[in-house]
Amino acid sequence: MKPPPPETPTPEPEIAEGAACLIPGDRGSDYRLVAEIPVGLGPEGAVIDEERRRAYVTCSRSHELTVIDLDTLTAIGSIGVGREPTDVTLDATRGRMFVCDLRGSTVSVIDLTTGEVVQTVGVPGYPSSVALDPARGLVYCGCAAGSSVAVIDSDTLELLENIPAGFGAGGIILDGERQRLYCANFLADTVTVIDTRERKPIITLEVGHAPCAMMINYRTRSAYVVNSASDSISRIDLDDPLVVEEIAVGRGPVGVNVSADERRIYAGNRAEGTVSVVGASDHREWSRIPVGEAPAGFAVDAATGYLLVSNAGSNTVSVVEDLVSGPRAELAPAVPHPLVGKPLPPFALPDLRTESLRHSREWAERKYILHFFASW
Amino acid sequence: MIESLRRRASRFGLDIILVDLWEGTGAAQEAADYCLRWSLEGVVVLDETAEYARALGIRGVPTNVFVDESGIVQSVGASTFEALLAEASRLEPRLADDADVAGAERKPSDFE
Repeated sequence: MKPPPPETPTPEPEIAEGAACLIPGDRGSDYRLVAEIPVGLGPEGAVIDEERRRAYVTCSRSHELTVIDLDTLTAIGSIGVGREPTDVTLDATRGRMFVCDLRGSTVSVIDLTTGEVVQTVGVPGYPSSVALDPARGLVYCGCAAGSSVAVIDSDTLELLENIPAGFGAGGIILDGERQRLYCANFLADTVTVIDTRERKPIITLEVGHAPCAMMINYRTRSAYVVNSASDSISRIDLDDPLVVEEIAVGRGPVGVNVSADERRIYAGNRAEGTVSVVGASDHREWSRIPVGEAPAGFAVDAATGYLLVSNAGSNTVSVVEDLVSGPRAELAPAVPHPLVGKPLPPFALPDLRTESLRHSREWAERKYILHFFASW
Repeated sequence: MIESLRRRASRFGLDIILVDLWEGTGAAQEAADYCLRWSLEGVVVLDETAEYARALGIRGVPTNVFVDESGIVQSVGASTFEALLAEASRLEPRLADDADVAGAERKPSDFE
């Protein structure tokens, strides 16, 4: 069933930000903003239940999943889970969802029929990503503080063991064909490759700085990991698990996904509010699509091809249609941020430690850098 | 990363002010926990409603705004350490010659 006609008009192309910024050109025709859906606080990950035409978005700061009706593109409810949910995977066979609760150090198990949490499984600290192994009836969970991948039996819901990975183990993805699991180690700048038959690491690959989410594209026989502090994607050969190239994308990529036809790879660029569109044929960035503030993970609706992008800053999900026609001959030069060359607008903001207001005039006639950050 | 650069930059009179935003709830506590975890000791201000960030056209984090001594914005962006160091060195050239700046710390204390 097709979604209703767009309620939100296509926005005017926005001015690019910073030295590494949007690719100018016919960006207005590169995408269509189908909808902007308000969700809970701090949306991070998302998964789609095609059968029920539902999307579930992990809202880290309101400790819940927002449920979206994919036909009406509206939020229709929420499911409370553990503290700070960041990622979710769906087990259609067993009718369950598995949600990792980063600061709860748990995995919440949800019954898809009732929409209720049926069990909570304790795992090592800072679980930030989950992946289903349907053939083995297992759920894997990357646990940063444990530097390990927790293995959960998806039938009995027992924690079976913890496979050692690297420092800051987080984003994971399963290559079911080759029976390997990939785990991005955020604080080690590496990816651990695990043999899922033996449940043992077989190789550690060096990637870019602060690797986050991972995704697999069987069409290109590649795994992809976004390097959030290198503004890039590392591509890994699935047949011979080695890093074969690094692909430049937007600033601060933390989310990655693949189009329904596997011809494109998408990266959610948290530092600039865009999604990079990378061609699977040439592994070059074709365009960037503006979305909400501080985008994170996202899901792709196979029925419509729409991207559902979780915007952790604006507490929304952008539903976007990718209309990029193909690669460009060359990229246009970067456009400077509109603030460059102008006086900084004055600020008066409370000091975290003293609670007194700090004014920009305190830094008059001094050089300084404003470093905007969030704790997530 | 940002703390090691802040310490070095302060020696040359270049300040780095951290601006926390988009916490959703309990901003002060979240920011305080984060600063403790990553040993951030410099000035931190709270833009809890993100009103100031939006006025500047900030659409994501981390984003850095580089301001010269005349109060003029020199650049915006620089999310990687290399880009941050390059832009900071444009603002304060003595940083470029400081070999210790590259020594970034990326281990939060509660993981150790």
